[in-house]
Amino acid sequence: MRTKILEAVNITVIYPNNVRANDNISISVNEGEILGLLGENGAGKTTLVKVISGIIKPTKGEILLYGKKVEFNSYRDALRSGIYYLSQNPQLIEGLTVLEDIGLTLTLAGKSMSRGSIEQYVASIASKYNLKVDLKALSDNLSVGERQRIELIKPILLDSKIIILDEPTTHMSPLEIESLYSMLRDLAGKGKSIIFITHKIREATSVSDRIIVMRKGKISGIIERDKFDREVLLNLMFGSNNTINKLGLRYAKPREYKSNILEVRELWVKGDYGDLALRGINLSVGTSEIVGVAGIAGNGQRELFETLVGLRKPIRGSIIFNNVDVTSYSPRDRIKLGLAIVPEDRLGWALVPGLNIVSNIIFALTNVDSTLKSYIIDWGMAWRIAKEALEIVPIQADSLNTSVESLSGGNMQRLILARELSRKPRLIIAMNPTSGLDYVTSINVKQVLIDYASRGVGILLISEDLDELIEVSDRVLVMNRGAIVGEFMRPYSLENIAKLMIS
Amino acid sequence: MEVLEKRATRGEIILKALIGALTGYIIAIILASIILNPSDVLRSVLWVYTNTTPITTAILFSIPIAASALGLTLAYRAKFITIGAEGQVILGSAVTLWFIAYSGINLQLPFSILLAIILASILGALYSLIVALLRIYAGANEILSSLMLNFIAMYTVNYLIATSWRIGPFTITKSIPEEYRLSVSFIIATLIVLTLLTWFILARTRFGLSIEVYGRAPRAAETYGYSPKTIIIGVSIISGLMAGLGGALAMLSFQHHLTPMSSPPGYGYMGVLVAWLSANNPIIAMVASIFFSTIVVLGRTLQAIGVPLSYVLAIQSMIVLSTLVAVATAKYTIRFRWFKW
Amino acid sequence: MVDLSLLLRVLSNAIPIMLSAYGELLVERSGRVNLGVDGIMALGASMSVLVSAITGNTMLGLISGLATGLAASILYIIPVIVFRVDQVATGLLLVFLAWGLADLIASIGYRVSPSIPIGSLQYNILALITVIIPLILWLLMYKTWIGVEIRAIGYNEILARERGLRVDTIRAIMLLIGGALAGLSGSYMALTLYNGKYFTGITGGWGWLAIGSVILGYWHPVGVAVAAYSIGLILTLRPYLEAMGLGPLSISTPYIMVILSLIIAAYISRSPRFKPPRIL
Repeated sequence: MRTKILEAVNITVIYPNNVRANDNISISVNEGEILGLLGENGAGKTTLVKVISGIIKPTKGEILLYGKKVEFNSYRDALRSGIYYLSQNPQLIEGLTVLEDIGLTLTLAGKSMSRGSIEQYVASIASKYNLKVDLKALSDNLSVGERQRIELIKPILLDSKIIILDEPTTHMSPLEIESLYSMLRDLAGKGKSIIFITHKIREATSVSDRIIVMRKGKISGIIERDKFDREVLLNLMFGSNNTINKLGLRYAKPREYKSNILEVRELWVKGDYGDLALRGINLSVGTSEIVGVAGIAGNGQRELFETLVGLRKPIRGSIIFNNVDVTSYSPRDRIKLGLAIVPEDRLGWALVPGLNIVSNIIFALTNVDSTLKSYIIDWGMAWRIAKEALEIVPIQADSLNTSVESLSGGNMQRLILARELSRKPRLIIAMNPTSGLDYVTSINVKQVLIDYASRGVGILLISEDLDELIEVSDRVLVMNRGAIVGEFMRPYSLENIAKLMIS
Repeated sequence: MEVLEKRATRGEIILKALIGALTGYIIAIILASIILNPSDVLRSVLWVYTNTTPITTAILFSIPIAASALGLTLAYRAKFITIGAEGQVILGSAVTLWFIAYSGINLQLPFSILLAIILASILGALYSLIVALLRIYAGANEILSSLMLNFIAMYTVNYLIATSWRIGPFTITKSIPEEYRLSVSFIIATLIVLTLLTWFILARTRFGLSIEVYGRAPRAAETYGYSPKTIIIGVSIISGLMAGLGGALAMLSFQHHLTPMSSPPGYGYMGVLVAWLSANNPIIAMVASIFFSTIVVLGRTLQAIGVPLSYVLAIQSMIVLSTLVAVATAKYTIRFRWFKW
Repeated sequence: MVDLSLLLRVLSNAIPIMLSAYGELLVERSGRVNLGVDGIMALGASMSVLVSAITGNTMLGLISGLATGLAASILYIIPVIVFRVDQVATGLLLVFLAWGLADLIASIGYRVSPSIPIGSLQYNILALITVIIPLILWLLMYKTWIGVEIRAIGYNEILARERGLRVDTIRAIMLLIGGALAGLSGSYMALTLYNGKYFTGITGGWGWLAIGSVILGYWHPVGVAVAAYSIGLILTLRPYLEAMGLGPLSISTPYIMVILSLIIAAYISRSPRFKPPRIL
């Protein structure tokens, strides 16, 4: 019988917008086990581990460590009790060097060390687990992978008893995932407990000793290693008579690509700090074509998106949209030519917090739409136009007067799509349109894209989710270090795409 | 310490704001009373709020405050945090005085006043534009650069007063002749017109919407076809125009001449305070401006019994500060824990 | 030919700016900007003159100025750190509040004794301090973990909070130190530069120049020292410039310099190697 190292008892978390993220959840973690926490986006996994690591205070419930009740007021308290939380998108504090960042975490955990001894320890850990880091580098210019490596070194330096990894494989290549697994097994063998969060069944079953499945803020099942079964887990994730299998994407009749709606030639673009973010990008999108751009985050996708939208000026190259050279056009002029923009951040980039649904629709139409193009706003007409737009993609909201930040992520994305599609675009540029959305909503979003493609709209889909790209794209381009390094057609080879992403 | 956001109803916020404002006022008055004679102070307060003369004076005084504040509600909604109204008011009143008393340009009466006002507004707008251009093209933070420009405006006008505008042995300028002075009714009309205009820009125009969008989500504004430059230049020009206008009307309605300033006269700063107090709402800003100018009148009365004139701004700041804190208590729940290092 | 007395005057003008600037440097490094410096200086000046006049002890006056600054910064900490009120608004409100209170306190002073006879304070000790402070601050910020924590909070508040850094506590402490130094700076101005007198507008906007020199010194302890000395030099040369017939330009020079430093700082901050704290 293994000893229980940590117990979370009757955890309930209710967010200010009355969302019950965790509903009376109790879990326990044994010494030396790898515990898989499986569930789709929005199931409440991250909330639960943030409670365990003191980042969120639960509305109700308590945490027991070695059977004793503990109260964490901040992550620092949890850190000092031997809990380490590695977030999905590990961030380092910019402006500090990697060494300083590591030293800061050690100091917070009450294990302050001199700079010299940190260097020594890190070197030994790095060689043991194959985690190379440059301690003198500034945190700002590190890739996600490098940041993740640093965050993986910290719990080992700290000798943390419980290590929580939140979707650690998002930005990893298959090879890196393998070496992560072996590292986790090694740590578990040394008596460390690991909580491994994922929404992919394949990952959960390949490394966990035990899987806890979460659904809609509750635990739907706990399964031991010898009883792992894909079907069972799928049912637990989505409900016993799940509609997932019936929910597949509908493809319309085979589409024909007549002409190119977008052509990018030899695009060279500088990044935020004057480095080259895009190095000679060539790509084209045809009418009725969905072109996917794959790549690990931080390889120039954001800069590509911004340049195509008109937020960033290229230093060389040209962008031909709708047979017009739009290289020097403002976003407004590109929108007028039929561009729909679906940015990766919903609130603050696509939508304006604090304004209601109507304003959020018409602000993006007033200066491009001729019916609204007067200096004085006719709010009656604005409401009519907003209602019409929401007939294209309906949303759930009490009234059109509600402030957008009270909408769920899914409804926000539907609102954005409704607005952008109401302009009858010729090209949609979307970046990570389904990130953070639950399964059903993300299917909806993908379906909208496919439907519009079959009506003749060209779609450029920049995404970190390779599965999604393979599902919907007619062609997949792979981006690496600011360049297109490969082009793939159906049927796709996942292996080959992944290899190019990390090469 | 833990700060948790909570939902507050509009009514709760307004109630707490009023309580906060009153508390601030009372604290400031008590502070003055402790140092001076409490009965004298109270008598002055009572006098200001129960007579018509001080109220009329207050309406006159409110014009530079309200004009600056109204322009600033637009600027602040666009998150263009300029503090430059003070300098623009100073320049507006100085150029008005120059045009009427020193320039030697003689026009028929309503035209010379009109031209003086236009001149002051343009100068205010140009001075405000410097701040916007510095931010857009040089990346200079508008808060500090506008503050520095206030000092430059004040010292420049001081210099003029002490040198070429000086008459006689004392550092005092010529006065605006009787016939050029503006009446209370004119000021009231202007107040109403300016308030409605500001409200209209915000609620009914495309520019107003672009201000709201840019202030809350600059990235969204840029992506969906608005030009940040246009918005910032727009609000800086409007706020400068209004502050300059306020300065001109102040000169024509109650200042009449200039004396050297050892510290800023504060009408523009009061405009800044009013904009904050009103949460950038034009209607509230107009009412708050009149309230604040009653404090200016009170300050002048208190001056006779030994309270320094600068205490006016202190009372007003106290009011705004306690209002902001009171509103914050409606928006946040704060839990203190025992301090742990 | 170097005029020694001119050099001393530059130093004595630089000292108050430097004291306030170092306080503000700590505040800004932890990610806040206290625009109330000028007001706190005035308050410190007024209080120190009053206390010196009553006790007849300038040292006591100096200490009371420091204590006043410390107390005044609480007026900033409560709204900004506890209640999350906008820091720009609070800072400016604090300036106006403190200016008024300073004048009010001075009006007691006039009634205590119409003229306050105190000898001017020697600035030798303070001059020494301005050389030591940058050294201590440099060691603190770049050689200790607490310094790393301060800078981390200034660089990324949200992440720092999530990582469990003591954001509010450290900021409050920096603000207290900053307030104390500003108060000290104000009392130095009154007791030394103006021979124990207080008058309305005594700071002459030097608090703003202190904030400016933090930016001009690009948030580095040594840079701030250099910036404060150069602003001190300009302030000293002001009468000469005026005599040359430069008029309002001569008075405005330091303020123009602050604007220039804003531009330069904005330019430098584009490079990731020289990252300024996120203060606004």
